[in-house]
Amino acid sequence: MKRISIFILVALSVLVAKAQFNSDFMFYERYGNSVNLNAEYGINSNAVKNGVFNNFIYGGFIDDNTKNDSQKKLKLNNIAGGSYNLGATVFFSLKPGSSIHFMAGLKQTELANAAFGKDAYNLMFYGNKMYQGQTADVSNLSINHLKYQEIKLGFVWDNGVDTAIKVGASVSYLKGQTFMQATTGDAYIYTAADASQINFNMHSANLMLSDTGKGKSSLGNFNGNGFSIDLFANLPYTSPLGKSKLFVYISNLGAIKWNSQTVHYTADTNYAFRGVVSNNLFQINSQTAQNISKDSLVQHLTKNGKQSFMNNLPMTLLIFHNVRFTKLFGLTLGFRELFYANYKPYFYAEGQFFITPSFTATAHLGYGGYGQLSGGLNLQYQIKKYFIRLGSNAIQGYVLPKQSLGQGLFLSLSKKF
Amino acid sequence: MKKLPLIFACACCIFVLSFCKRGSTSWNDDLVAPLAQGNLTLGNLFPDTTIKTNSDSSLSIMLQSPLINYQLDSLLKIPDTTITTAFTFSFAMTPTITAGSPLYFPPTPTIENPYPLSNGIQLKKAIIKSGKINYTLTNQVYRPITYHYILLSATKNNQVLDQIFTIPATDSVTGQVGSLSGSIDISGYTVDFTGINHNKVNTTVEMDSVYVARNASLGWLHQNQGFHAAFTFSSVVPQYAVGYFGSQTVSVHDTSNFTAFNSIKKGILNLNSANVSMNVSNQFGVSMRAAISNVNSINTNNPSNVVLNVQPNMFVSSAVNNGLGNPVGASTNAITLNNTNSNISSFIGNLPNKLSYSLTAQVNPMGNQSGSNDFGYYGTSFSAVLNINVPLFFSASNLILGDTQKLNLSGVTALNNINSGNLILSATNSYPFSINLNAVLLDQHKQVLGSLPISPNTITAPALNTSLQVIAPQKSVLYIPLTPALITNLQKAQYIYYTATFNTTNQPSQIKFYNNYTLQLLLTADVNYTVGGGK
Repeated sequence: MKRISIFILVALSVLVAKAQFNSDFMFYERYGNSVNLNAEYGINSNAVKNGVFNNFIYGGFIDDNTKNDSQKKLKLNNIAGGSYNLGATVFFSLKPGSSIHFMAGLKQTELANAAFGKDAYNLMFYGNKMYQGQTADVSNLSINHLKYQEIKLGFVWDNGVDTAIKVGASVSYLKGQTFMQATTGDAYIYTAADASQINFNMHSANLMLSDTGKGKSSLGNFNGNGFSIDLFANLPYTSPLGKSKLFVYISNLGAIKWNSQTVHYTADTNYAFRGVVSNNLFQINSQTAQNISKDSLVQHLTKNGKQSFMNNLPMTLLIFHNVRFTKLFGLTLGFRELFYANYKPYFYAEGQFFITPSFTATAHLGYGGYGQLSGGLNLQYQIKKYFIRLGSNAIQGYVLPKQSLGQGLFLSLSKKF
Repeated sequence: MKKLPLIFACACCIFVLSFCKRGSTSWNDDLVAPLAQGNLTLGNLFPDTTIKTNSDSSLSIMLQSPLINYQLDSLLKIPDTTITTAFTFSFAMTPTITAGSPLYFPPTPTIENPYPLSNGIQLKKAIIKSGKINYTLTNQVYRPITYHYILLSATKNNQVLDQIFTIPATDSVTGQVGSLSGSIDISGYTVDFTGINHNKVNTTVEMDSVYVARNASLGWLHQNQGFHAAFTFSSVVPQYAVGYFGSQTVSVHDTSNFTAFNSIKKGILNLNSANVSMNVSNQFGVSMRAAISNVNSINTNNPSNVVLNVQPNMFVSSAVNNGLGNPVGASTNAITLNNTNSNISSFIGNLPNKLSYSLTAQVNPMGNQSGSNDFGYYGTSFSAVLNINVPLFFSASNLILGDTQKLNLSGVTALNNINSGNLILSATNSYPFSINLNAVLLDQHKQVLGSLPISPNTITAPALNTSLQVIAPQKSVLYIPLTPALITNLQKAQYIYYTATFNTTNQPSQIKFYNNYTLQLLLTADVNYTVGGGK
C-alpha cells in the first residue's frame, strides 16, 4: 500500500494541465513572426478537489475534511492529471515577404496523470483499517509521470493571404529527465478482519522508474532521448456568419527511449503478508523488525530488473473552429484529446471580446479532460508590438480554492517583429 | 515599454516560485497490519525435550541428560617419567680419541627401564595417541659425540624408534658444556611394556651407544669427562592400552548442566509423576562396582536442592573388546526411578539447571580376572545417562519464563510517523494455564528504560470440564498503547527483557496436557500513521 501511495503521491504532487494546450503554433497564428515566452500550468480531476491538490503543490497537511470533500466526489473510476510548461518560441522569416517562416523553441514539460478507483483513493488517504474484513479493489490503477526538455525546430507555410491555408510542422529532440509509469492490472488487497494477514492478489502489475540513483533525476541528467513532431493546419474560409477558421493541431507525436538503468518492477502474485511467522513469539527481536519492513514486503511482491524502455508521449489532438461574428465578438468551439494519458475528450467554447484594438478578453467554458465543468477567463493586452496574455481555463480553482475541481494559469509575453 | 520583458520575466519567476513547495505534504492514515504470528508450544516451555503423545492423547516430555562421564584418561593415567643414561670417564692415562671411535657401550646391549604407574596398573601394551619423549643430552668431551638411541619397545610401521643425536663438544677454553635438547613425537607408536623377554609389565627396553662424531678432529679424553642423557616420556595419552588396571578405587564428585528447564526462571512445578531410567554404560575393559550417591537436583535460579533419595550401587561387568577400529561392546546396567521407589518427581519438579553426584567405583572388584587383559580405548568412558519421561500432568504455580532479546528499532523510521495506536496481541489459548506477560525495555547497558504497558497483561486460561479437560479455547486480546513516550523508548532500546508467568487452572489440581492443546498468538499493529511529512 505504501508503494501505491508513493505512486499516487508522486503523480499528484506534480499534476499539471495544459490551460493553453501547449500549442506553440498558436503564437504564430496570433502574432506572426514573433518571439514568445510562456509559462502555464493546469491541474484537474473529476474527483479530487483543489483542497487536496493545493497541499501537494504548496505542501501542508491534508486534514480529514479536505480528504472527505474529495472522497464524496469519488466514482467507480476517477482521473486526475495536468501539466506544467515553461517555454520560449521564436518565429522568423529569412527574407521579407517569404511564405516560409521558421520556428525554434526551447521548452520544459512536466506532466502527470492518474486513473484510479475509489478504493485506491481510500487506501492512500485513509489507510487499510476501513477495509478490515474486506477487499480493496485497486485494479486498473494507472499513473504516469514524465518530465523532459525539448529543442524544437520547424516551419510554417503561410503565403500571407488570409483565406489561404496555413500549415506548419516542427520536430523536437527530447531530453528525458524523469519517468514513472505504474499500472496495477487486476489487483486486490484483502485485509483480514483480525488483521492477521493482508492478501495481495496482483496480476500484471508494473512499475517503471527512470534512473533513481542519487542526483540522476536532476535537470542536467540524460536518462532518456527521444523525438517528437508537431503538425498544424489552419483552414480559413468565409461563411455567412463571418470569417471562419478550422484549426487542426497535433503535438507531441513521438516517444522517449529511457536508458538501460530504468528499473522495472513487476508483480504477478498472490501473496499473503502475515508478518513474521514464528513458533516462538517470545523471541521477537531486531531481525523480526527487519523482516516486516516495507523492503521485505516489496521483495515478496515484486520482481525487478533494469532495462531500457520506450514510452509514447501523451499525444495531443486539438481541433477547434473559430468564427469572427462581428468586429467585437468571436466564438471558438473546440475539442481536445490527449492520448496515453488517462484523459477524456475535452469540449470547450470560448467567446472572444475585442473590447479595444489593444485589449481582448476571452471567456472559456469547457467540459471533460481530467475534470468536469471548467470556466475560465483570459486577458490580452497589446502595447505597441508587445502582447501580454494572462488567464486561466479553470478559474474556479481560485474562486473556491478548496471545494472546486481543477485550477490552471497561463502567462505569455510576445513581441511581434 | 522597454521594461515589459523585465516585468514579464519577474512575473514568470513569481509564477514558478508560487509552485515551490513551502513544506512537505502529509496526511494521516489508519493502518492495520500483522507483525508476527505463530504458536506457543510446549517446546518453548521445555526446550531440548521431545514431546511424546501417549495412548490417551496426553503428552509427555522426554529428554536425556548425561550425569556421569568418566573418561579413560582419568582411569588410566600414564605419568611423565624420565630415564637417564650417564657415563664419566676415569683412567690413568689420557687417551686419544679419533673420529668415529666408540666412547661408551652399556654393560649389556639392551637395557630394561621400569615405567612406574600408580594405582597398581600393570601395562602390557599401549598404542600412543599423543605424547613425546623430551630429551636433554650433554657432552663434556672437547669433541662432538654421537649418541645412538634405540627404544626397542616402541615400534611404528614395524620400525623401532631409532634416533641418532650429535652433541656439540664442550668448549675447552670457556668450559661451556655441549648440549642438545628436543623432543620426539611418539604419536602412533606401539609400546611394548613386557621387557626383553615379554614376561614383565611396565618395562621398556632400549639400546644406547656413544661414538666420537665422524667430523671430530683428533683429541684427548680427560679425566671425569663424560656425557649425560635424559629421556622423559611426557604427556602420554594412550589410544589403546592393555594390561591389568589394578584394583583401584575411583572417586569422583562432579556437577553437570541440566538444560531442559533453562528457560524457566522461577516457579513451582508440581509433577504428578516422573519416570527416570539411569542407564550406566561401561566401555572400559574392566569390571566395576559403582556406587552413585548424593545425586542432587540443583536450581540456582530459585535456589533450592533436592537430593535423590536413592543411591544406586551396581556391578557392571567388563566391556567386550572388538578389536581396533571397532566399537567396544559396552556393558550396561540400569536402574529405574519412579514415584514408588524414589522422590524423582520432586527431584525433576525442582526444575534443576544442574545435577551433581558422587561416584565411587571399585575397579576389578574381583581381582585380575581378565588375566591382565584389561583394556581401554581412548574416548571410551564409564558413563551414566538419565532418560527422563515426565507425563505432562502437573500443576504449575508462578512458573516464570524469562529471556533477554536484542531489540534495535532505532533504524525503523516508520516509528516516527506513528501518532497513536496499539500493538495488539491476540491469543487463542487451549492450554489449561494462564500467562501473565511483562516486558521491559533496556538500553545498551541493560538499564531499564521503561516497561511495555500491556493491558490487560494476562492471557486467560480456558475453562475445564469435570475431567479437568479444556472445553474450548479461550481468546484474549492484549493491548500495548503506542504512546509517544513508548515509541521514544522503543527507539532507544537495545534489549527487551520479557517474563511470562504460567499458572495452571484449578490449582492445586494437577492437569493433564493433551496433544490438541495449542496457543495461537497474533501480534498486529493498529496505528494512526502520518504519510509523508518527513518527520
